[in-house]
Amino acid sequence: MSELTVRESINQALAEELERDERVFLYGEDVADYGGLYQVTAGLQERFGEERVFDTPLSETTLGGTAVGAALTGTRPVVEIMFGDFLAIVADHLTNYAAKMHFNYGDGTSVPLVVRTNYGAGDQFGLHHSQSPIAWFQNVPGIKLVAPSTPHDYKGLLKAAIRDDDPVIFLENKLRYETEGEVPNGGYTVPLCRSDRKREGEDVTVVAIGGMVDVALAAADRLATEGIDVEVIDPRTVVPLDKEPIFDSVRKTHRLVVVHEAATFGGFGGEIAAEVAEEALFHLDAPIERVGAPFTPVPFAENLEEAYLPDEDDVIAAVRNTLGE
Amino acid sequence: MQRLTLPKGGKTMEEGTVVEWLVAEGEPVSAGEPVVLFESEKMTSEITASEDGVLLERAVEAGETVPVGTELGRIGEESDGSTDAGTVSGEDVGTASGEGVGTRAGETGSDRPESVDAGRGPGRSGSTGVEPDPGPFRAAPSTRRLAREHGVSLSAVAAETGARRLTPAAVEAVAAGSNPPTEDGPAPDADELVVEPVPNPEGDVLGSPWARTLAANYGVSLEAVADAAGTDRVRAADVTNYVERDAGGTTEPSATAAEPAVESAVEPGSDAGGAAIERDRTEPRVAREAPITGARGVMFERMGTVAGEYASTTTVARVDVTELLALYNRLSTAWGEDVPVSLTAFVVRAVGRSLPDYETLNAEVTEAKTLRIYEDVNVGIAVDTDDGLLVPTIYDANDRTVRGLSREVGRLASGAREGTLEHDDLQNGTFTVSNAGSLGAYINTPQINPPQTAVLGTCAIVDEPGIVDGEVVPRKFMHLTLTYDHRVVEGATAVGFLQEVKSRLEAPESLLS
Repeated sequence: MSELTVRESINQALAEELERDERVFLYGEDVADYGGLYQVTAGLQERFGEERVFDTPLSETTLGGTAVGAALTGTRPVVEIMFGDFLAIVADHLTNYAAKMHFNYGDGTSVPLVVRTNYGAGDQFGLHHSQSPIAWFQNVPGIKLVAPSTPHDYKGLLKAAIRDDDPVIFLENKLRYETEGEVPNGGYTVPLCRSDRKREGEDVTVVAIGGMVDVALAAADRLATEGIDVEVIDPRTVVPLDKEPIFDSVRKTHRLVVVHEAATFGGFGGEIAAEVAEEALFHLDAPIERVGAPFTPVPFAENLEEAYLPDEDDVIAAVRNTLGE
Repeated sequence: MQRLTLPKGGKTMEEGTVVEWLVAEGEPVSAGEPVVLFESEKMTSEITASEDGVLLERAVEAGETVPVGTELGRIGEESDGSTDAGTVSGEDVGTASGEGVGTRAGETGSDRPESVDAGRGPGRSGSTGVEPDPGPFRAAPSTRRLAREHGVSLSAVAAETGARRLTPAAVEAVAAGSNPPTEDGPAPDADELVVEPVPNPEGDVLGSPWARTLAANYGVSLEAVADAAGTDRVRAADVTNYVERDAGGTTEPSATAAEPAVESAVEPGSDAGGAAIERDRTEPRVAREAPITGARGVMFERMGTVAGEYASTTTVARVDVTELLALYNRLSTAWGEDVPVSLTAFVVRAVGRSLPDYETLNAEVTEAKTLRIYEDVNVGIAVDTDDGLLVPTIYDANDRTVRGLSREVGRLASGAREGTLEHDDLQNGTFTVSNAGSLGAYINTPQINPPQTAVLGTCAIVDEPGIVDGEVVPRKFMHLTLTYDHRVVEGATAVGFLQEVKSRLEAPESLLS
């Protein structure tokens, strides 16, 4: 085991997969010479050369189209989109081509590409560089959406995503590149489409996504001092969702809080709430609580952005509501 | 027989006034038919018959105000009552009812089960009229909340406004004009009221889905729980508290309908918790029930097959592993971290070298009831994972060295735990080794992995006295357990194989060549 930051664990995952499989290559805006806006890909071009790690012009449309084409030829492109907000530009290639081709041709065609991008507010990047775009893609069958929370999961899930035969959007929370955690030495992968119980508890189930897992765990620690025992479930892969552990947990605690960074309206939390309402309604002892952002663009001003982002207090209030306090 | 008692229409209701009898004494009534109208808190409600019969007695006359729970009258077969309904005279009625009021009002406390039952009657059966009832009033949740906040009953709003669709404005208007229901004013004149059966005299008690599920399981009414807990929003905890603490004398009749012993629960000498304790004795509460699927489903099928069809027999050997452990420690130092030495690898090595001489153990029984002997020795190793038991396969185990086996055991074990094994890694086994020792089992009889014919179990390593050169000395021992299918494997074969594995493990250096 070693203590790594999220940035280091992603960098290691990329290096190990570039090393392991010559079909893997990495490109995007400023990923090579500069090492990525957040220095996630630092040193990789030096180590693997300009054929395997290279910069591109400012054209997300081209990034998407070339990635789909390259994946169809049998390579495994890993593309970085500098901000998740720009996924809107590359969305046509992802939703109408990468996601559809396996179903369209019926001959085993697969599009094994990975789009890495960051998401989230908190850095005063304003309304065009702070969004959390999960909901934009959750309704597109054929794309896997991965949003890890710990260095261990970031590394293991990115390696699994690169080895996966389907297109994967890999979402990195930009506030948490410096988060540290234990990472095993040597190669390992974390399977896609498996949720993880990050904390065991009896009273309330909190399902938190991506960067909100840390927030939920901190809230759970505070609630524990009052004797409120919160279970925290991290889906890790958002689509396709590993639902059973969530149902099992709700059948145990009878209370559900869903936490994500995007707006609650139309957000992924609504989908989890609906699934639980369908499968476990008669086990619920309280209305389901959703914690997320208000339905407004991410504000620029620091104080407004702070108010916009869900925090520990929001989670604690939601948990208390489910307990009828 | 049905006793018509004055139901508790709301949390604050303590008494009510009989407005009108709709049926004369001695007249037949049928189930669902309204019998008597009563009024409380400005609402008029009806009590309906729950069974066919005859109105035997009116114990309280119209205009009288009596406490909640008072018996108003009785319905039953004519032979039920002492009064001959067919020939009743006015004097007789007067005498009988006079006595009835006096005595039964005093019994209110002990008569609660009946009163709860009657209380449910008006709401549930009131809509069985011939012409389609336009139904109760409608109110959006915001209106209902407003009414709760003002302490105004929606029924009252409906009655005062004459509207079916209630608006927040109507609630506000009634709230502004109405006296608090707790004030002791003179009972309003019946003529001023809209005498229309109001469907839900119990007020709007809300229950969470899980609270309703629990209440149904325990057979208690949500309204009773709400009353006991002093809330109009019932949660699961209210139900469990009610059942554990309060249920004793007030359990609904429906819960114990099959038992004629309702009365005995409130007999002198039986404590208040008697009914709840009685239930615990007869019905274990179900914590959870789940389908048997996934890895557990596989186990269910396979172990069923083994138990039903196999002649599983187990033989045990005690192995002195003192030298094996010494060798293991030497190799751990020598090989370092690159190849973590595995004790399982030594066992698989010993099995691989012994099996070819005991071929019926490296075999399977086919569906055509033939015995298929394998040439290859593919040893499965049972690995406990989060998703259940997996048995990945070491191919050609008899051709691999201890070092090669150690490496393979490590790869398969971590692959099984991380879920990264290939399909081929999980099939084609011809024999299985199962290690219950790591969990501390002293002797564990493993079960055969069908369609194989045998499985070897390794148990915990323990410090025990052994005898070396006639001296008692501390040694390390491990039990090996071999379960085999006695339909196709002779006992001598099984014991011979196990002894050979034992002697190889007791001379561990030989396994390195």
